[in-house]
Amino acid sequence: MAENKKILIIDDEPDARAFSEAMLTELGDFEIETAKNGLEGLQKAELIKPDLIILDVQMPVMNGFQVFKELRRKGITENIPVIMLTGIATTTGLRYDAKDMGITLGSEPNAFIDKPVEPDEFHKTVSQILGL
Amino acid sequence: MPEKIDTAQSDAILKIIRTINSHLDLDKVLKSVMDVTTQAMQVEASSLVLIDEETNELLFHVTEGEKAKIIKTIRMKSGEGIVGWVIKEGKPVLVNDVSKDKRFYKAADKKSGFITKSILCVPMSTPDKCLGAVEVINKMNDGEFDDADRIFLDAIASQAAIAIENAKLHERIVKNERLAAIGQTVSGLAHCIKNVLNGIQGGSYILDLGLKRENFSNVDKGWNIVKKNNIFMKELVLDMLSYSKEREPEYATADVNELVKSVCDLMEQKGKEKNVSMQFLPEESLGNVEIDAKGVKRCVLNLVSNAIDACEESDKSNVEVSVQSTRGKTFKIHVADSGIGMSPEIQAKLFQVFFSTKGSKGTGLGLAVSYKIIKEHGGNISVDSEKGKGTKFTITLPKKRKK
Repeated sequence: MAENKKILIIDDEPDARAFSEAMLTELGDFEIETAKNGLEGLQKAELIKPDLIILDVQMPVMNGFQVFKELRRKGITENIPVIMLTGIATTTGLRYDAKDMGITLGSEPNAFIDKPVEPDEFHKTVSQILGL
Repeated sequence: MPEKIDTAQSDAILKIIRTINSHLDLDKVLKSVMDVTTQAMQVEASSLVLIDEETNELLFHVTEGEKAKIIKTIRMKSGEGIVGWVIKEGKPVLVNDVSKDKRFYKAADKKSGFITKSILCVPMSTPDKCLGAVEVINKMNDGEFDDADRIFLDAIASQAAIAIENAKLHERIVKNERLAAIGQTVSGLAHCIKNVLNGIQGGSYILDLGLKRENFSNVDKGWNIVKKNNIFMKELVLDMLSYSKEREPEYATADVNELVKSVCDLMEQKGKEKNVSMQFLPEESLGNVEIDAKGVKRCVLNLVSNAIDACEESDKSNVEVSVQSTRGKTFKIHVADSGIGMSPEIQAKLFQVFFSTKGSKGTGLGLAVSYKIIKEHGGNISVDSEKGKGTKFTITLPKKRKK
């Protein structure tokens, strides 16, 4: 039997982590790891080399965009697919805008999911990226 | 050589410049400009004509004289009459016998019953375009208009044009500022609400799963998340209302020690959950004070809650809340934490509405509301913080209500 896919959730909000975890559990059997801030997330990403990272944008100390840049900068994590969850409402009406937070991303994450997260959209995006 | 402007006319121009510089209401400014002009030039009637930007018609925006009210209702087509010609050509016209001038618009006299004998009309222009014209009619005592009158009216018209342009510019600035403020507020609120919605969505999803699988621990977990977000939403609405309304504090006699202690008691559980120890140091010598207890409690609650949040990532962290009476007419409430501290850049933005460093947990309203409540009391909030070492907020309030 093939090994379960590993998914890392990086989110500062315990309730939001529980939400993502519940949606993943409903979708399939995954090995789920969580991190409560960006730094912990980066360390765990290097250590467990997950098949997918669910990354929240608004986190204190190190926001999701900064974490994403760091993931892409390091060879060991640069190819890990990333889904970003965002509740940012920009004045330009865009769903997300790293520029509003003064960050140039370089490359784009694999997907953005807008908050409030719709479980169907979440399931579809995760399945697509993991090829389920 | 044209004659020079006389002293009365120089005084009139000075008066007009002062009016333009000291008032923002354009209609009042233009009315005053035409009042002064009519008197200084000793004429029976005068008008300030503007071009309607939508229809291109000529509007008698300000009218002075016996039949002013009727004249004000007249609308002329572009290019019509002497005033129309002046606006179209951008050149002044001086006619001392209108009966001999084909451009004269007789219908205005017919409608108003006024008898026009002579007209002096000058364009009102900016470097880019003609905004309209100023005209004076019938010099008193059957006098005639001359070149000096034209120079004077030219000076008046250019001042009126400046006033119109200033007013338009001011209107544009105010409109842009208002739109920017609305945009910022809407986007800040949308962000907060989306996070609450995500909480409710997540909570109800977990609750649903729990019911489906008869897993009551999940039902409990999901239901608690929904309830928590309900409270969060209520707090958000209350903060929004306190922030948006100008209000006087509802003063009443209060025991500050008791008020601060009740906040510490309320926050004790939150502190325990995050392993933060809390101390409260009352000031026994401080008697009752006059404050809006509900408002001040809200501020202290915000500060203590923030202090616990700031401690989240530190070990052995603590929050100390103390009350201090000064020798003067004020007292202080200190909230100090041994948390992560703040950089000077963050401190500078601290009281800005919708500014938050707490990720999805922060609304960016708490400190803005606290600041507003304390300022409404005539008090102050100050902050002393060092990155990595901790933060101390100090509220200073008058012991008695401000008169």
